[in-house]
Amino acid sequence: MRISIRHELRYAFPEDTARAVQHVLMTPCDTKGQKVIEWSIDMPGMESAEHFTDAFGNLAHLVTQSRPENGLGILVTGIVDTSDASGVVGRLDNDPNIALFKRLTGQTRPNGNLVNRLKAQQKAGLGRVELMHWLMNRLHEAHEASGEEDEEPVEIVAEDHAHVFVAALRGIDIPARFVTGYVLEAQDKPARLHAWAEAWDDSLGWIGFDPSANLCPTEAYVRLATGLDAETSTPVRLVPDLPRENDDAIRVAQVMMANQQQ
Amino acid sequence: MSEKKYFDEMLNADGSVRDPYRILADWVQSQPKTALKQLAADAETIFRRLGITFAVYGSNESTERLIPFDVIPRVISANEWRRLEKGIEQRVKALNMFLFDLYHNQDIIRAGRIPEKLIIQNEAFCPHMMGLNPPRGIYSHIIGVDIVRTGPDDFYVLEDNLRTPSGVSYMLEDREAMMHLVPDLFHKLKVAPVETYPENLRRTLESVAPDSCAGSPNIVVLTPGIYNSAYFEHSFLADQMGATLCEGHDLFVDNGKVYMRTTLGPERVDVIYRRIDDDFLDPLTFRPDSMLGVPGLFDAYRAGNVTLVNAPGTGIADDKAVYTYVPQIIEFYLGEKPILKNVPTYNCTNVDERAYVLDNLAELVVKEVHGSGGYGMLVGPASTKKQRAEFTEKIRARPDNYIVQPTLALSTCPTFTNAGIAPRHVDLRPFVLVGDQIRITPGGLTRVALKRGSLVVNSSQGGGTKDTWVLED
Repeated sequence: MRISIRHELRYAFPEDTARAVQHVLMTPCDTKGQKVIEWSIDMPGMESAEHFTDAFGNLAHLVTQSRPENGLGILVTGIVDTSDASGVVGRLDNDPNIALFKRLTGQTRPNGNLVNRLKAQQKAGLGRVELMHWLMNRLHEAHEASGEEDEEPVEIVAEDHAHVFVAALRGIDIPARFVTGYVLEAQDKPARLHAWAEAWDDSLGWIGFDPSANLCPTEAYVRLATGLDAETSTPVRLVPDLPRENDDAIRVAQVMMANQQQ
Repeated sequence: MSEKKYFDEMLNADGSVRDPYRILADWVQSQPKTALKQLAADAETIFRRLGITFAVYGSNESTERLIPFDVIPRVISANEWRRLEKGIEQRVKALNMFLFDLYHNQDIIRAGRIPEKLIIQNEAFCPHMMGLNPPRGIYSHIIGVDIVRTGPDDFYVLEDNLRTPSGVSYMLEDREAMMHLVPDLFHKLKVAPVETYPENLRRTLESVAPDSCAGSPNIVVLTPGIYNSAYFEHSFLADQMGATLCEGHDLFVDNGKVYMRTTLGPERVDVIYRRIDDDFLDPLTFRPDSMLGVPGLFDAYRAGNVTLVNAPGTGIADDKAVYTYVPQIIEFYLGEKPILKNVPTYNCTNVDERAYVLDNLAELVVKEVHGSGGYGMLVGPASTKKQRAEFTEKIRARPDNYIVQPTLALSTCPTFTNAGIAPRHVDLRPFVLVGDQIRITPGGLTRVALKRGSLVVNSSQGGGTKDTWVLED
C-alpha cells in the first residue's frame, strides 16, 4: 500500500526569543514492513541542520533558528510503501545494543500485578511471542472493561497503553520500546499521530504491538521514531521548552491527509 | 568509643618516630607552642587573603566559610607513594576501559561478571553515550580517588569519584600557604611539587581535543555559577591554566559546533572542562528544564566537534553499588590483581547480609547509594540509639538504596589542636589526570577530622585539610 503523509506543526515562541533549537525525530527508516519512497521536512533552519543517529537508532536533526519572529512552522511530507508483515519489523541497521531497551524510566514503571501475571503465564509454558500477544489482549480487555473510552483523547490512551505494555515486558526482562508513527484510518476519520510498542524476539527481531487497537501493526501503519518512552521518542523537542499543557503558548495544528494511491 | 588501636602515621606503637616523619618530628618538637599558634594564625590570614571559602548546604548562618587548615603537614615516603601511584593508575585505567565497554559491546555483562540490571537500570548509566567514541577512548579524565589507610601497608579505596571531583584548589593553596609559613622546612625535606597541576591539567585537556581541531585548542571551564559550592575552585582553575571561565549562557551551538560569545564576536570552543552535572548539560538531550546547560551541546559532542571533560555517564563507574565490583573489573580488563584494596561492602538486598547489618549497626557505616559529601550517612560507633532506629527503618524500606561497610580504623596524623599536638583521623584524595598519559600529582588533599575521635573528614561535617608531603628519594 502506498501512503502519502502531510503533517504540519506550529509552535508559537514567546516574544523576544533570541534563539530556538529543536531535535526533530521525524524521519522514518526502511523496515520489513515499510519502504520510504519520498520524504521531506520543511522548516526554517533545515538547510543548515546537523543530522545524526540518536541513542535509540533514530535519524534526528538538530535545527536552529535565530530570532524566530513568526513562530515556527514544520511541514513534513512523504510517501511510504507499506506491506503487512504481521507486525514484524525485524532487525534495523541503526539498532543500538538491544539490552538498552530493558531500561525502566519515569514513564515506564512496571505494574507489579501485571508482571506477576506475566510470570505465571511464562511458567505455564507460554512462548515468548505468545506472551506478548497475551499481554496485548489483557490490556485491551482491561480497557474495554473500564469503559473509559470516550473520556480521554485517543492519542493519550494510545500512549498510556504503549507505556504499560513496554514496562510490563521490561519487568520480565524482555526488551521493549515505545514507537511513534502514523496510522491510516477509516475514510471518514482523519489520520493522526499514533503511539504503539515493539518487543524483542531473538529470532524475529522487533515485533510491533498496538495495545490500544489490540492488533499488530498492519500495512496501514507508518513507523516514525522509537525510544525508551514517549519522552525519548517525541517527534519534536524544543528549547525554549514550551509549556505543552498551556494551549495559549503552544499551537500545534496538524493537517494530515493520508490516502491510498494504489 | 572503644579502645581501638589506630595506626599513627608519625609514631610507632613504642613511641619511636616512623622514618618518613623524622625531620618533621624534630622540627615540631623544637617549636614552642606559641610558635605553632602563631603559624596557625598566620595561615588563617593567608587563607582569608586568598579568599578560599566553601559553601555549606543546609546551614543557615554564613553560607561561605573558611575551611579549617592544620599547619602540621602529613608525610608520605617515596616508597609508600610509588605503591599508591601504581594502584591508582591501575584503577583508573581499568575503570576507563570499563566505561568504554559499557557504552559499546558490554563484554563484561556478556561474560556474566557484572549483573546487567545493575548497569542498565542504574540512574548513572547514560543511554545517550552508547556507541560514542570520545577522543583517545577516555571517559574520565579528571579523577579524585578517596583513599584511607589503616596500617603501614594497608590502603583502601573508599570512592573513585569519576564525575566532577573537587578539592584540588585546596591542595594547591595548602601548599602555597605552607611555603610561605615554613620555608625552612622545604629546605630540610625534599618534597615533591604539586604546583605543576594546573599546567598538567591544561596539557591533559589539550591532548583530548577533537581530532578535527587544528592548532592550539580553545579550552573553557563551564561552571553552574556563583552559587555552586565549588565556584571558587572553578574560577581558580580557569585562572591558573589560562582558560576562560564561562556559564551555559555564554556558549551556544551553531552548525553542530560550540561557540563562546565574546565582545569580539563568536569564538570556537574545542574542549570544555565542565563542572556541571550530566543532567544539566544540555536541555535538548537531558533535563529539559535545565537553565545551566547549552542546548545542542551533546550533539556537538556526538559529532566530535567538542570534547566534554569528563564525558557524560562516567558516574556509572563510581556508583556505590558498582564499586563492589571494581576488583573484578580490574581483573577482567587488565588481567591483574588489584594493588589497592576495596572496603568490604555488605549488600542489604541479600537477606543474610541485611540481618547481619541490622544486628551490628553500631559498628558499621551506612551510606546512601547516591549520596555524597557525608550527607545521609550513619557512622555506627558515633551514632545514637534513635539514629540507628531510623536507619533500621530506612534500610528495611529500601535495602537497595544503601551500602554498608565496616567502620575502618582510619590512620591518624599529628594535628595542632587547642590542647596541643594530638592525633586526628585523616583520609587522602589524590588527583589524577588522564589524557595522552596518566599524571598523578604526588600527594593530594588530606582531609582531617578535627573533632577528637571523629572519623568523618568531610568539610561539610567539621573536617579540615592539611598539606600532604610526598618525599622524594
